[in-house]
Amino acid sequence: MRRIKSTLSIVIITTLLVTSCKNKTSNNSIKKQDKMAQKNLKNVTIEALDALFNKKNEEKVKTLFTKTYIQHNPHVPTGLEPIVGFLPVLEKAGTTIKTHRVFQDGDFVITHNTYNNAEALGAKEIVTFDVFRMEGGKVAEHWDNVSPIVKETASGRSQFDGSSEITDKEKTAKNKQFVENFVNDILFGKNPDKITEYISTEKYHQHNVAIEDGLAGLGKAIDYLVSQNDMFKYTKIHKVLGEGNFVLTMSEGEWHGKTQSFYDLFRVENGKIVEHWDIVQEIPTEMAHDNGKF
Amino acid sequence: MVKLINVQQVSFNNKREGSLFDILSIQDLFNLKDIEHSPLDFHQVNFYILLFFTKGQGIHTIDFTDYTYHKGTILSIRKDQIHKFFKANSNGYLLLFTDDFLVSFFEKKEALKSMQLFNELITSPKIQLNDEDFREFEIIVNEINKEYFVVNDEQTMGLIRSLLNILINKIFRIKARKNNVLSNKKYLSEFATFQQLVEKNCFKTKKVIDYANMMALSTKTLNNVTNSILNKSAKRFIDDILIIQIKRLLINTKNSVKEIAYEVGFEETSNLYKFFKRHTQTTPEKFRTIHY
Repeated sequence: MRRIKSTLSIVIITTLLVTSCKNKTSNNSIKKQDKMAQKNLKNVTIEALDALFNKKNEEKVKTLFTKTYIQHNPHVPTGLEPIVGFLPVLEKAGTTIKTHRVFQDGDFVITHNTYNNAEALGAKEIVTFDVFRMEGGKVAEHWDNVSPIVKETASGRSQFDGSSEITDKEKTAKNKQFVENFVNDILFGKNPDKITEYISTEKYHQHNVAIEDGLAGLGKAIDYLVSQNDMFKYTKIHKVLGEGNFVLTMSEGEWHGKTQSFYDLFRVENGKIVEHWDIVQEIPTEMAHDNGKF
Repeated sequence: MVKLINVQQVSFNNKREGSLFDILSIQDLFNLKDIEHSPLDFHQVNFYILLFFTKGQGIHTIDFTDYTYHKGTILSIRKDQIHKFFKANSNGYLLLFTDDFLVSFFEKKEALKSMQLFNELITSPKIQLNDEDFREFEIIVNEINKEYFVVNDEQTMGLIRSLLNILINKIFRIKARKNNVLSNKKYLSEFATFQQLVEKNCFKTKKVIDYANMMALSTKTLNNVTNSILNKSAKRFIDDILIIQIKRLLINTKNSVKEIAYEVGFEETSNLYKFFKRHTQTTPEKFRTIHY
């Protein structure tokens, strides 16, 4: 045992040594004490989801969520108590969560998740976008769109697979503006002809269950919806949240004659949209709280 | 600090002379106290790391990109990359090995494979194993762990090399299934040499002709090399590598932009600004703030 311990520490020290020697600037290597003390909000969020849906650990949930937790999921009452009260149900069902993507925009952390054994949340297998606002290093507010997982999709891609690497962080503001313009021009239908300015003609990975890959797939789907007189209508953008190459828009609109919440996640590469995931959810007229869907 | 490091290095040599390999669990890494440089900081490594996650989920940053990981995620980190752990409720192993380990113990073909595997310019550093692959990997990694910490006899390093070779080939197979490898590409070995030369010399020269001369190739051939592997010109390739190095210096040191400009071979700081802005559409200061 002694040997194991010493070997381990040696490895670490060697790592550090290497760090130091490698770089002649090692003495200047920035001490990030402040940064370390400050919690990483993305990991707090992952830990909170893990405590709630995997571990069902009441104590942890109480330390990771604020007492005044504000809920926007239409079916769950607001506050911390309802989610604590939900733990035994999740435990009994054997609910689990897997986070596929996570990114951060200021106080907001955006996650793309799948849940198993989640009948209590809508279906056995569901996919969600869960958006959180953080306050004092804790989860303080929650918005989501939820959909059952569809096994057979038009593109062959799932509702959650694909690229998950967050990069190009210096382009966040630019990419957010770009995607917002796309939603305005194309999804709101203000300048539909501009579509090739936004979507790559070479690569467009489509994760919407009914639409095929590529710009052509999108065109085909829109033509079909128009022919059926069932075209979706976007009426309001509530939030545009992004980090680097990923941007999520949370919008409101109408489809199938009902009020809908549209969550669209875009990946931007070399100034064009190259990948898209979405969840559309009907907004119920009656909610379990007065906080609204958005 | 220097003293501590020297002492530790001596004991490393004593214990595992010439082993050029190490393994440790992520949990142990987080639990280690009294370490000078926290794994939660960015740090630059000069060996290769395979990070194999067996439990939990979280984020790991390599260079300027965040990767989400779960059970069954493997991340490969190349020498000279900077990376950062975030404390999370996860477990797994770090397998560490040096350049020499790869070069001297694998045949050329195998070394080329590893070069690709640990090359973020060619392939994503992240692989997600399915349940079946995960079980196989776990058995092999546990075996390596056992060899290293429990058995540790004359045969141990030889066995670990063989087991690592199996791991690398399996990872390769998984990547091949997803068409993410280039093993049959022409120019792969020239590309490897070119990349090495640029990474070593780009602070001194940014000219394609200089590299062509070092490799005794024409600039035209060198352009073919980068075009066939990365679909970009040799000049663009050199610039891209230089940008990566500048970004690493911005994140990993607190040197002023002026100092960095000097270090990477720009006579005028303003030329670095122009160069950086042209390739990243942002300023060095902004880049530093964003990644901090």
